[in-house]
Amino acid sequence: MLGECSFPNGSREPNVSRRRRGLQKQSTVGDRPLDDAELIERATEGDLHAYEGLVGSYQGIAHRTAFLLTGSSADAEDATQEAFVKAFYALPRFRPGAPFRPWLLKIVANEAISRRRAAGRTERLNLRLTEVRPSGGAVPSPEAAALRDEDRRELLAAVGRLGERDRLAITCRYWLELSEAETAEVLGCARGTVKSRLSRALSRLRAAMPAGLVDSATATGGDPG
Amino acid sequence: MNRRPRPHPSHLERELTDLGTVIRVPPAPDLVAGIRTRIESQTGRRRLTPAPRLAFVAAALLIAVLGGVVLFSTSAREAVAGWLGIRGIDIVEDAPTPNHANTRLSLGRGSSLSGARKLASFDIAVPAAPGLGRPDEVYVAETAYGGRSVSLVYRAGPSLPAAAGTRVGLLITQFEAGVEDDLIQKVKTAGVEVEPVRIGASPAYWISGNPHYVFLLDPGGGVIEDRTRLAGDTLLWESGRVSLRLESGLGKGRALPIARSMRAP
Repeated sequence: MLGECSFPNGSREPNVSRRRRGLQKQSTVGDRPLDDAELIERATEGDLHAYEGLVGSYQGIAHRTAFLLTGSSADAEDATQEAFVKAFYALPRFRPGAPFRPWLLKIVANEAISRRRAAGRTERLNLRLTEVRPSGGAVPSPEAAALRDEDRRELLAAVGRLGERDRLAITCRYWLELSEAETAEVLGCARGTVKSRLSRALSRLRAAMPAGLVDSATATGGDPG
Repeated sequence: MNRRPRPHPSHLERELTDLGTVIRVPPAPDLVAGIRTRIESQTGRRRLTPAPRLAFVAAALLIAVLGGVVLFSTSAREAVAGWLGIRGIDIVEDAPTPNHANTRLSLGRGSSLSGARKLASFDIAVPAAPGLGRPDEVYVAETAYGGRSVSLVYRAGPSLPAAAGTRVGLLITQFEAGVEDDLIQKVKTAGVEVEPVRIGASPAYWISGNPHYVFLLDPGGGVIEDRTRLAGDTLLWESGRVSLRLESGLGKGRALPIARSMRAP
């Protein structure tokens, strides 16, 4: 489980009776779609339609997070669904005005990690590279592109060999491109701890990589960086 | 160690960010309807909080019954409580009496080494140092975050002086958790000295002085807080994804070789 959960200390109990009454189909004000804060407020009051709006907005990144942490489509789907259900019941403890994304992703990450652990999976994550290379920068020669793909596979494998907590930090910061503050919330620690953990993870990564690979990966990249 | 100049961290960071764009992630399924159905069915058949509350109380009781190796720190307590939607419930902490270990060490359930190996999700290491042999007693406990800790107890003998107030000569506890430099700083309290040492390639800490707590990082990011069981000094280090704590009255000179002799099967 992720620790130092930063659920705010709300005291409202979920409004069960209102939830039981079902939908209040009001996810727009006039023609204007509701923003996150409004959706959260309504969902907290039991408006499932408002919560559907939040699920629709965040299910993409939630699923990506779960997949990157489990390496399994089935686990990612289950973890994402379970996390959204848990998040709904946890909404009364969500601090109004706080960013929803890291709060949700913490729950997602927790579910994903628990699921993988409960299944007793200790093998490395089965993440693979897509065949499609992003555009941008000069087009590398076929040889350079092949070398770069190989470098990327090495780097991916090296991340896979990291410990769970290091991988979580790398996933949040670089693969989900969360800010340091968001990463800290997902990890349940202070920003300073995120920095030191990432620094340590990067050191381990560099140490785990074949000598010079990072240099060559950088040098042969089509990304002008 | 590699003598090549290491690239600037920003290069590696850029590579990692770039890598994130080419990892194959299957398309996200549309879960909106499924989640709604789940919530509606759950809301329809039960109130929202009692079940987790019961589960949590049961878990807390279980931990208490098992001897409560892991004490809930304030943050961990809040995390678990917040997680289950019951923030505000207090968990009574074990009385901090680490210097009366002969009465009760609160190590968890008694087991055998092979039994513990079946229960633990990590390879349990045993010291290969001469004269120690197999542990006299083995205990397994659950950490606050669902991982396991395993304690190996060596009774005091002619070559193994008893730690003050106990009949235990050596206690080695292994946690599925990490040692974090930041958390080591928390160990440094009045009357507690922390000296950096090394066990092989791993940084280690020789902690001497008053009984103290150690803070370890669960793989999921939670902080596990655990008090020392013996009044002796502590050696704390990390090996792979396991943290090891050696407690004894042996002194640093004898404790370090024992730690360095630890071998997993």
